[in-house]
Amino acid sequence: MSDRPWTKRWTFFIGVTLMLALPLAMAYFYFGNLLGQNERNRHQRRLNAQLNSIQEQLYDAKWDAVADTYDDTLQLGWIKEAALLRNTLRGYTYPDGRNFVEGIAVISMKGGLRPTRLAAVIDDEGKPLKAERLSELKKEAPWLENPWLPSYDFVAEAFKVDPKLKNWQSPFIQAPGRIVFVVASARRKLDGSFHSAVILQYSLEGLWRNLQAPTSGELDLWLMDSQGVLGLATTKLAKISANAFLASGMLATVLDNGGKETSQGKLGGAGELEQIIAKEAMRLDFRTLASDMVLGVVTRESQMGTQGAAVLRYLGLISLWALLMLAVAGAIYTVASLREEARMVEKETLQRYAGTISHRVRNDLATAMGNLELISMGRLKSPDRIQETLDNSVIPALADIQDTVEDLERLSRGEVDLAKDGQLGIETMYDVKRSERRGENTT
Amino acid sequence: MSLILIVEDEPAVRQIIGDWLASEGYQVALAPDVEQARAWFAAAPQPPDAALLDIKLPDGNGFMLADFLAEDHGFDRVIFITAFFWEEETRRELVKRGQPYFEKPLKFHQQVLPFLRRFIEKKEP
Repeated sequence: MSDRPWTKRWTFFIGVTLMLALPLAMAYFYFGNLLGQNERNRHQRRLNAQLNSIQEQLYDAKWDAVADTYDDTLQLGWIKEAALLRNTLRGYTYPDGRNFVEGIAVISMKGGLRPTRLAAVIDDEGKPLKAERLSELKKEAPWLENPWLPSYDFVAEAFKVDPKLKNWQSPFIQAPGRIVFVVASARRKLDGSFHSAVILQYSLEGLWRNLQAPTSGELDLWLMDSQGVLGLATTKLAKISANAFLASGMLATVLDNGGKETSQGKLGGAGELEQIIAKEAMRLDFRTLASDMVLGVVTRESQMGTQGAAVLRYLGLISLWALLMLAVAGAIYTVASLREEARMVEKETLQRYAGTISHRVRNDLATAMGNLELISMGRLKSPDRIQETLDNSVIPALADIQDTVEDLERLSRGEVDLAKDGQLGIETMYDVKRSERRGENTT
Repeated sequence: MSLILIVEDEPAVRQIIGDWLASEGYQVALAPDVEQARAWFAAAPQPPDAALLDIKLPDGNGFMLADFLAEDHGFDRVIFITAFFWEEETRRELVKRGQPYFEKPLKFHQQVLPFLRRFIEKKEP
């Protein structure tokens, strides 16, 4: 029997499975790309918003400090100088003394501190913290009552170098246990020479923790000043990224562009760079605060769009599972269908073979019975003619019947196979293979 | 003397039918398939009194041949013989046509010859 039905069915089954699988795979990759791209765009928009917000906060912090210190320069020499300075400091004090301005002080012409210096040990009402609470806070920040640097002559120096300079932000300075920076406003004499300055000393860590961290999420963020001093790195990756940025020599260029942007009325510069860290592609988004500092956020390229990819991966797995189940069901159906078809083909073959047998035996019987009837009716009188009829017609017909019966017996024992044996109209006839048929291969 | 055309592809069967009819005094013409039967008919000076047509033939079948003879020669004196009466298609066609038929093996003395005699007499005026 032909194996074409098997080939056809399996081809059909594989074809259908592929027709289902291919669009699914194409959709998977298409939507994977689309989702990934959408999520990258969304991520970028969110990151830009966060960076802009932090940039604005830094900008506000600086210019609030500038405004306050400038106001305070007008009060210098007054009898209530200390009380006025305390009012400024109170403006930066969070409840329970968790402020980000460590202190406010007046710097003399030679860079020394005047007695009106005030540290951030007041509460939000301007009163000194209770001793118990102060003691508790000093466990984390021992410098709380005396945050001052040994010398502030760098402030005086800055105002002396530039006679027109009214306010100034220092680079980051390593103080005991933390990094600080200073925003200062100068009071000048009538001839323009430096007289004194009011400073606000910021704790960089305090500024970050109290003002910016709540809105920054889990960013890998760093902050660097114009001298390349790393003031803040929220993670190890952020620190590596900052060092790589510094090593790339881009700091000066980025700050220079930031200064130009500021001169055009913007808060600072903005941009993005590609970084390779430990052979992994990273994306560095940065903002500058004028030309004073750079704020960077580094993101792993592989993690951008991962949420969409994860959703799609689950969807892909579900689709793959469904396809597999469908394929299994299709395979089972195909096998069952082929078996059924094989049974039907087998049945039809046997039916057609039975017809062949019937036809042959009936013709043999017609020959034998016809001749025997001819003899019995006395129509053949000559003994020679009778013998001839028996030899040439009756005996061969009976022998053929015997051969046919033996073929059937061998077929029942599985010793011979059926094969196509011609076509009668639309009917395919089957018989024992000619080479295996009784009487066919004998001489 | 009546003339009978026998169209049968099995030589032994064709021979015994011929022998029987000859022993009854019929004149017999033999053909093994459709083509030779049509050739004989075209060449014959007159149509036979009856034609015994086997249904399964190598180049067609008895029904087809009967249709040819009816269309080409207006001849409808046919008797079918078959070893395929068991087959649904053959049986349905025989019933539909309403023409006489015998199933192999033929019982000459009891069935075929008496019927053939009546069949031929019926034709004669």
